[in-house]
Amino acid sequence: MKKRKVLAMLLAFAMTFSLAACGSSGGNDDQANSDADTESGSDEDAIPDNEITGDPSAKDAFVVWAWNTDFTTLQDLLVEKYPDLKDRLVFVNCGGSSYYQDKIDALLDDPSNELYPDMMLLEVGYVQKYVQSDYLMSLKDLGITDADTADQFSYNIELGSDKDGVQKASFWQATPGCIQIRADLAEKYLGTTDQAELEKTFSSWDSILEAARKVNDASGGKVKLFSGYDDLKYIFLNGARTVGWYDDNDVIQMDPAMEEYMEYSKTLYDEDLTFNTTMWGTDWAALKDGDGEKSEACIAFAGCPWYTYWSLTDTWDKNTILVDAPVQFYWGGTGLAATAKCADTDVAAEIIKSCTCDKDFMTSIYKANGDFVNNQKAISDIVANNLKGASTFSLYGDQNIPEFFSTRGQNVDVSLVTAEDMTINETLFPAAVTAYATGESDKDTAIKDFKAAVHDTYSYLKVE
Amino acid sequence: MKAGKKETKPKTVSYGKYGYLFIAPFFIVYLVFSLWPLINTFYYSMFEYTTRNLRTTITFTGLQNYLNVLGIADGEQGYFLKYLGNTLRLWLLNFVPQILLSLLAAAWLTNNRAKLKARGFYKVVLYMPNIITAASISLLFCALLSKYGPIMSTLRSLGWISQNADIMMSKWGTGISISMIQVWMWYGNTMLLLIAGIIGISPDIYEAAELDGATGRQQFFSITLPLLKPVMLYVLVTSAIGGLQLFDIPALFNVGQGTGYVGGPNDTSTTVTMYIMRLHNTDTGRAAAVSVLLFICTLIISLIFFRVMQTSDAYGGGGKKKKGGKRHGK
Repeated sequence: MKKRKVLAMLLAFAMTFSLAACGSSGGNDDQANSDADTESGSDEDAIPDNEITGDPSAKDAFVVWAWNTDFTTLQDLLVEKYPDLKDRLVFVNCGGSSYYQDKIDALLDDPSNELYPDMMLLEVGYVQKYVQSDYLMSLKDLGITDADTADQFSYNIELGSDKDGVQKASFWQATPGCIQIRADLAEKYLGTTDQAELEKTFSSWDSILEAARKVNDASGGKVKLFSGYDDLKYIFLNGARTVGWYDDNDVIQMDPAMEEYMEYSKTLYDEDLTFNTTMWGTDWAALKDGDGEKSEACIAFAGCPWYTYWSLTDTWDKNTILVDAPVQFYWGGTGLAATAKCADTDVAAEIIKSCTCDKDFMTSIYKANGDFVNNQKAISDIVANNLKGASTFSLYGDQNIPEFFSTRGQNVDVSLVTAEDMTINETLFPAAVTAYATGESDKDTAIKDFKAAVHDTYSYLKVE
Repeated sequence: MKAGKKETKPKTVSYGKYGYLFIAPFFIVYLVFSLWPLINTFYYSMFEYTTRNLRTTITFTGLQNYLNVLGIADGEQGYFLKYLGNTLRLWLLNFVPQILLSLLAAAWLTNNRAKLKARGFYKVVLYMPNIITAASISLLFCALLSKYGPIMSTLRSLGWISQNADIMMSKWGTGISISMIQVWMWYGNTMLLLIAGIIGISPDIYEAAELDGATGRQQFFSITLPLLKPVMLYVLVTSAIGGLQLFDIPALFNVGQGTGYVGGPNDTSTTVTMYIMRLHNTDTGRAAAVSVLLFICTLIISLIFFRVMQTSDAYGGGGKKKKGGKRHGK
């Protein structure tokens, strides 16, 4: 009897333990109503599988990691140039940028793994994390000299270099920002489609606010200037900042420019001047195609080269005017870097050299997918000869995408970028802005919560 | 284990050892995949992991991680308590309507007077939402409930609301949405458990009640509900354990909003497990400490419920001595 009781207790404990330890080992939680087994289920749902092209088990496989398929265009061009790469290149698409760092960090300490990246793609939001680590090989060690990278935009070189100025990641795109304006709605609500006029309207935050009020009044709220204050975040975060997120002693600091953004967002919210969407949300996307009468629409989106040719819808074809934001910012961009234990440095050097240094090759990238390439000579060539990319998307009037951006790349400043930027800029800070703008928290609380959240995520950053 | 030695006696053949053999796989799997990680988690929670630019330093800090996440240490916010509050709020919002709905459906589907046709079909249909993956459901509801989504547009064109409301911007809107998704996903499952419980109640009692002229309502409240207590408690325990670990729906619902593991608005729908996921990459030690605290909460809740279940059994089962095993149902 005693024994049975003990056994029953043991089983009961086992059940609690296994549920609590979130391992669904036994069959006992199968019939449990609970959402307990969703823990393991959701991992499968939430984290997509890698899509692998090529054979990673081949002896001379050269593995390249990325979070989307952008690289495939480059891969096709590379195979054309170096036919022997055809069977060697293995491309791993991790399925989304949110999972990229998790997946790749787990591999970097394990060079014997057949999926160990020989080369990885890095986005500006976290490129510094890898560049400052010991896991990447410097361009010098690959045999790529300063002369090779001389035509790159200098801000991209800075982004790809560690604190001693050693360049480890090399970008093939340049991504100066702009504001994209829908011409038909601008005509109707701002009264002009003249680029110079609009440039003036968007030259300061005050005049933008004025325009936003005008549009809102004239349309009865059916059309707004911007989709959400979230749309302005890259302009502020990647252009207006005056100090980084933390100082030399790792104390988190609040940039006055960021407080200005919080205030500006609050004004926009309080006066109902935007639709308060967040970027990449369903509503945000739908607002691009609204007609302004039956459905809501908005006039302007923050943008950059890849955004303009890749993310604008047909509604915007021959209907887009590009102007400068009040400050020059940048948005996105992808770098290539060889890992420290890269299996074949010659191949890595060939790829990086072709994709990020070679004027002709980079012109062919532009032709293949319209990328605004990180090579000033290639760009001036493209502009001078009015070369066309693969996309048929074109701007309103005689404006031309590469021409507009060609003069903007030099003005980008990335000196304040830190390794933690992606999480802070895209998750933690927007949460603080929303909390303040919507009135859930007062400013001090919002900032205090924000600092606490940063410290909580990166415990080495301190709250003073 | 002693069974093996007793076998040397030639006259009695003991099959006891086979029993142990049969239950061995569970214990082996449990030891390797549950108990060992659990003990390890305790161990990890004593260390501080600092990863900066992919360089990790590990230092022993004792109970510092616990003090940090509970907000006791200087300059730290008690995120664990905050998120535990969020989690419990989401669970309560989900559990109460869910049990009522399930009970109603179970009562209808087992009512012998109603003679409902195609019961099997209804059971399948009500269970159906549980089959769809949480990811699809979250994204679906995100789209449906968005400010300019179909629900708001319909309500507005019907003239029921004058302004499109943004549910995701309100604490209770988001909380209720997430909870309703949970209800919709899980009430079919709960219903099946309750049906099993109701079928387990002896028909004699109903017959007797009917002879005495009891109405359907009286039967439900005086017979079904009291005798269903053990099953209800089981549902409550499993739901509480699952509810504390609530992760997929709120996480994915918020991923749709582009905020990752920070549950909007203003961090009010972040659950404890979302917090663990957020930490596990940057600070394994603190993630472990939060896991351990969650485990302790789960353990306490489970022990209370088990205790209550035992005492209620004595009454629910009728007789005190021999009918104790009745809760295993038939």
